[in-house]
Amino acid sequence: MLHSQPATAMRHSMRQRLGFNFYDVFVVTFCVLFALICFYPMWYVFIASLTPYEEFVKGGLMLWPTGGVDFQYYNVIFNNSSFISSLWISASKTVIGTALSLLVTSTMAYAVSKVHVPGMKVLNLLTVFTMFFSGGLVPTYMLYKDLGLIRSYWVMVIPYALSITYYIVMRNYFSYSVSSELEDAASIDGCNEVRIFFQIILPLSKPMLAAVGLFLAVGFWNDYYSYMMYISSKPALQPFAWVLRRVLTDSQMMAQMRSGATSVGSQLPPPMALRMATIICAMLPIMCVYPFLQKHFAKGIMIGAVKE
Amino acid sequence: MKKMRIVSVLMVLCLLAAALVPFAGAEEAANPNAQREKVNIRFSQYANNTDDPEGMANDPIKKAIEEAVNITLEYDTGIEGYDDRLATEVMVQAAPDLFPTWGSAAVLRQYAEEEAVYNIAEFINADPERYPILYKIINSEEYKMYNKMYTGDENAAYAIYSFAGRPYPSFAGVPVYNTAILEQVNDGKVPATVDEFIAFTENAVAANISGWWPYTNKLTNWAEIDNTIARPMGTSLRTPATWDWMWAGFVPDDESKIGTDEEHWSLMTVSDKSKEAMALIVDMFAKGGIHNGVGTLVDLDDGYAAFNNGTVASYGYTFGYYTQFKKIYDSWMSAHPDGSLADLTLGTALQDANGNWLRVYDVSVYVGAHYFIPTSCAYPERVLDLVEFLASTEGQDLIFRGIEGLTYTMDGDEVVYNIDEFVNINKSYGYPNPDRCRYMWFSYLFCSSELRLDLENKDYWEAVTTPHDNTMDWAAGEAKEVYQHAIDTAQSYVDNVYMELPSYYGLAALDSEWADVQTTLYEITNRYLAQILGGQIDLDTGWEQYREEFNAAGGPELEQAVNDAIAFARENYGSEE
Repeated sequence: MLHSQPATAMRHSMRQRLGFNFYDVFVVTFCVLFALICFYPMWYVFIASLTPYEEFVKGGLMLWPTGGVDFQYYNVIFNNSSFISSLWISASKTVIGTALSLLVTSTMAYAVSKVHVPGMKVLNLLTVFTMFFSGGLVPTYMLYKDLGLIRSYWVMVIPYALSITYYIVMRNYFSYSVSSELEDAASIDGCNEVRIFFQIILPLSKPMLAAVGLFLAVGFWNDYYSYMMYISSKPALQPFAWVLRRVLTDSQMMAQMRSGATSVGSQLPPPMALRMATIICAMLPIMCVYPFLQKHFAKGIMIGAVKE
Repeated sequence: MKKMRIVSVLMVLCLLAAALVPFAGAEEAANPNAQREKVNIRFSQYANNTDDPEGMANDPIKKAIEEAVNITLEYDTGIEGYDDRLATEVMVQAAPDLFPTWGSAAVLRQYAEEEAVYNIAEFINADPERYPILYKIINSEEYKMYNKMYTGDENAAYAIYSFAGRPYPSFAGVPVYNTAILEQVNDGKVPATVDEFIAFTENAVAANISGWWPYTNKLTNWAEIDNTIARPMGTSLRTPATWDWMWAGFVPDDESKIGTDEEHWSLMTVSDKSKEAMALIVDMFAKGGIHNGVGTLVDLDDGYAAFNNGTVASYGYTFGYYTQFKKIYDSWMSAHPDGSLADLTLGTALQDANGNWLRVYDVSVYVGAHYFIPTSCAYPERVLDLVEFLASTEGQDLIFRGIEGLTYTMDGDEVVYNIDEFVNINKSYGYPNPDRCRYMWFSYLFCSSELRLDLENKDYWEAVTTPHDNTMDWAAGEAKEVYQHAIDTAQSYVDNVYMELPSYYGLAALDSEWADVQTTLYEITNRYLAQILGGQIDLDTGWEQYREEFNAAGGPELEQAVNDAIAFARENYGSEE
């Protein structure tokens, strides 16, 4: 005890004198290093998209664009008609799809959360069943074909109007997190179920809607499969994720982009630099949305996870 | 008087009408499709690009085909997910009106059994006057032989068979050297043997330069490494994938017995000889003789960049066809605008220490693709009108020469190409490179090596086996020099290397149940070779494990099945030799 007192005093004095101790240094260093390891690949892609190619091919660690900053690859991308039109397609289907999906999923989740209503349990069971057992590609294709969705813009939106995963999250939220007394009070004040849902429940659910909406938006933004399988060869309808994928994997697409560069006065750009610039362009829109939803995000992400 | 005038006018009108009748008849004779129903035909082809609607709308070749057949054409394409999408569309009766699959016998049989595609012979034989060229084609002995092989019925043709024929042999395993580095580390001597090549890479490493970049597509394509190092040693590291020749990875026990009933092939993939070859390769990789980016970086981007900036001394230039040499030359010149052909030294196929050459076993023609008309198509006769037109000289001219006065002109009998105009058309479909003078669509329809066939005037098999490669016709100046250099270099050793197998080898097919075995063996080989090369598995201890797994997965049985299939083809189709 006598021996430990000076050591404790020393530790206290170090923290008191410097405001931190070795443990703090270790933790902060570890966190900073870990953050750098996570951040550097993204930073590398960004730097490579701005570095003149003759510098890029020299290889090695790149921390900053050597040989100047060159925006020519972005210029090439934004002069490619496929990029511009696909951005519009992606943006529109993300907005429409997210709004539609939030509406359909939340209304259905709210309805099914009313377990005292006859048939709701069966409806819930049937809905959740489709999460585990889907029809498979061919029956799905046939259904879409009969619905007239094949080779149409709406095949990228309507089939995703009901998201089963978020339906479960929302149903749990409506069942366990929203006070039934509020609904009773609104009912006594003369609200019908529709008004209760839109004027009482939904405003209370903003954090949850923001979090789910963000996930849905990311899903719509990244979805290229529905175009690839159900539309294909209709360039006017191709989403940005599909163009991005093709830039990364399709030499014909790359050739077209590189050729387009020469028509806007650039040198024939190297494929790797164009790929890097395209990745940055694809990340930016969603990265821009995050800060605005961040305040709802942490709160919303836990909603529905536990019973209250 | 008035009556006379009316009669005169009527007579003049009758005369005019009578005079126009022959012209109308001539027009009808020239283009019988003009009288037929105008339909929209969706044609599908792998790996083109349809992102430029304006360019497509102004495509003069597309317009000429539409006009000649009296149709509208809709192009359909894809790369990723393309095969899956087409298979799904066939199943749900929504497939394009004319679409390809790779030349897989199993797929053709499946489609025929499921009646997913039309037996086109029924339409063609029912109206030979409408389809004279197709009638000649499907009633040729060779076509019937393939029909029989596929479905057992020589009169049932479920597809248009797209044969690949080549005017020049093709093989991998010939490196291109950076001439300056060759001078610096090897006194300019082009390696002629495997040992010399390995010594060259070691010399390069001693000069802080990586020795070799073999094109290998993320360590899933071993052909370049195999042909450069293993094949001259009398073995092979490969295993036959479903899309490859069934004898890939095999070596004949005795070449002189090929074509006789004593011929036999041995699967060498896990043999002791292959282990010896792999030991050399592993050693090269460990020392930097093989560039350490191989398998992780991209061959044609990073590999070319490394070769161009002098950090790698030699490059295995893909699949070994002469036009591919120009790709590396073009890449070099874009990085070195003041460079020249002399900067690159195209090497030779290698020999082993005993003077045995790399041996390439090939057949002159093989089925590269099948084009189907699905039973969901409401107007198969009109689709066949399109196919008939494209088989004609006029159709082949449109695909391989383009529009007279625009993409080519005639100087007597000589065709004078305007490659720039052709590139201008093709760039709408994602192909802006001035290294091919043919339309990007339909070029595989009859010939999967994309060469012009004279189907109208020649006997079918003669046309298929003598395709016309127009590369040396349109190429000029520097491009022609580069092509000629590659052809001449290959010709200097091709007789030592290339062995053409009897054509019945092209008809040898494994039963469909072997596909799973081939796929499993292919996966095992890729996995082990990649890990052995990278040092994750020790060669000495790992090879036995590799051999056991390979043999347990059906390697020896596959060897027997391949030999049986070759024997069956020899006995049933060998008389055609």
